[in-house]
Amino acid sequence: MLRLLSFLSKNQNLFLFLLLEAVALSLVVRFNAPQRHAMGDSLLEVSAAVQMRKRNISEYFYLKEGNIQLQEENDSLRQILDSLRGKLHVAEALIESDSSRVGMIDSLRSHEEFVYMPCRAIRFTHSLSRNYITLDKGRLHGVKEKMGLISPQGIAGFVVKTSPNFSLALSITSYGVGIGAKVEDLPIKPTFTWNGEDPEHGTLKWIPLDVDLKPGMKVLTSGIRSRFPPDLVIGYIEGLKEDSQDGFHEVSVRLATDFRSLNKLYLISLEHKTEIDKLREDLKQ
Amino acid sequence: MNLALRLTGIWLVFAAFQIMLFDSMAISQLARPFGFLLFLLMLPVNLSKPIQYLVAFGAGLFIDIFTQTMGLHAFSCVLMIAIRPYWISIISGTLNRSKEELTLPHQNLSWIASYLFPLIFVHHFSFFMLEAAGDVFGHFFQNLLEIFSSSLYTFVICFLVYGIFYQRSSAR
Repeated sequence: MLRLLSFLSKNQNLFLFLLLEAVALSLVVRFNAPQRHAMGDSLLEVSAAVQMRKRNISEYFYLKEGNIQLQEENDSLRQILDSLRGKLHVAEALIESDSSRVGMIDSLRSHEEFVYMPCRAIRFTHSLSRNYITLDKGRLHGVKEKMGLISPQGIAGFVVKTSPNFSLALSITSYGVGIGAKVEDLPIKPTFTWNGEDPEHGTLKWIPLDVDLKPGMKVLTSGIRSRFPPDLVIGYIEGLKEDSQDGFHEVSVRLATDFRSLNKLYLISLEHKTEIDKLREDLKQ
Repeated sequence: MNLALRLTGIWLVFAAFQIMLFDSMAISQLARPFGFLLFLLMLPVNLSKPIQYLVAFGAGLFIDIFTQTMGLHAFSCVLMIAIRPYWISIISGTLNRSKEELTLPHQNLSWIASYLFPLIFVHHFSFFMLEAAGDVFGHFFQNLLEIFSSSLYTFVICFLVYGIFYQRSSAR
């Protein structure tokens, strides 16, 4: 024991070095494990509060761009509203003429299964291998872990950590993140992953060669075992690469969301959906 | 002035600049500057090794908390500060040793350049390789490019800050 102590004291610099490096490495491993983030609540709260101040200052310089983005989103939402209104009129007319079609009301209400909550990106990265987005909404606003995060253009990520006033989301442009996808109405359910190189592209792998894919087709969320409701835009097919050895397509997807300039985002809660699904299951029995 | 107090003050300035300014100065996919490294590289050389290690660890962790990179800077900073004395003794052929104590601010600019860049590179190499750990072999050369360009970026910032503040303050 004495020898051990004298050995330690002789090499104390080396041991301190090794100890600190070991602690740092264990932090890296713990905090960067896939799909979760173990940073303490209070640390997230403090760091996000500082980032928030900075964001508030820098936001003044981007007001114009932000307004244009909002205008575009507004236009596309208005279009959707018009088409939904048209459908609603048709449905109401049908219900009046045939009272047995009450079930249609149910399908019209299906969008209420998901609850949308607007939020803002305070800080984000897009060039690392795991990119986090700090959001200005937290537990007190009803944010929960695993909630989906979307931009006006398409899906963006999902929440991995919450603190009282802020939360941290992992971007889909992160290593090891897979999203259940589908291509328009084709009967395939591939998994979407990031390509690991730039924040604009991802890939769909293992698509049989006989599936007829064309550039420009929409890649949507499948909603199967997912944090996202079905039919949200992930991106658009850009190019096909035929893998001759395996006999599968590898598809390059251009992401809909611009990960270089995230600002206004929406959190999606599937809680109502799981509740509704459960009720339906119970009713069937 | 008390050394510990002075270092804390300087550190707060560096940390504020890193979090508020340098953090948002990344050049898209290419380079990401970590200007706060100059603080560690300008630590007095005669400071005892355990203190240097602990300061490097604390400084790294501080930045880690604000950039969601838990442990990455802490690891890389301790590594860099541990290599520093050996690197100084390698390149100190052209060193001005004033009295018995080596003071970094009194060196000429070419010595400072050859002192700063390799140590910054060590930090960046460790940081980006560790950051990409799961994915490192898939994009090895892309990572290497990012390490090199980021090192250059950080070096330019550190060199400018050194030239403006450290040299002038030592001339007084």
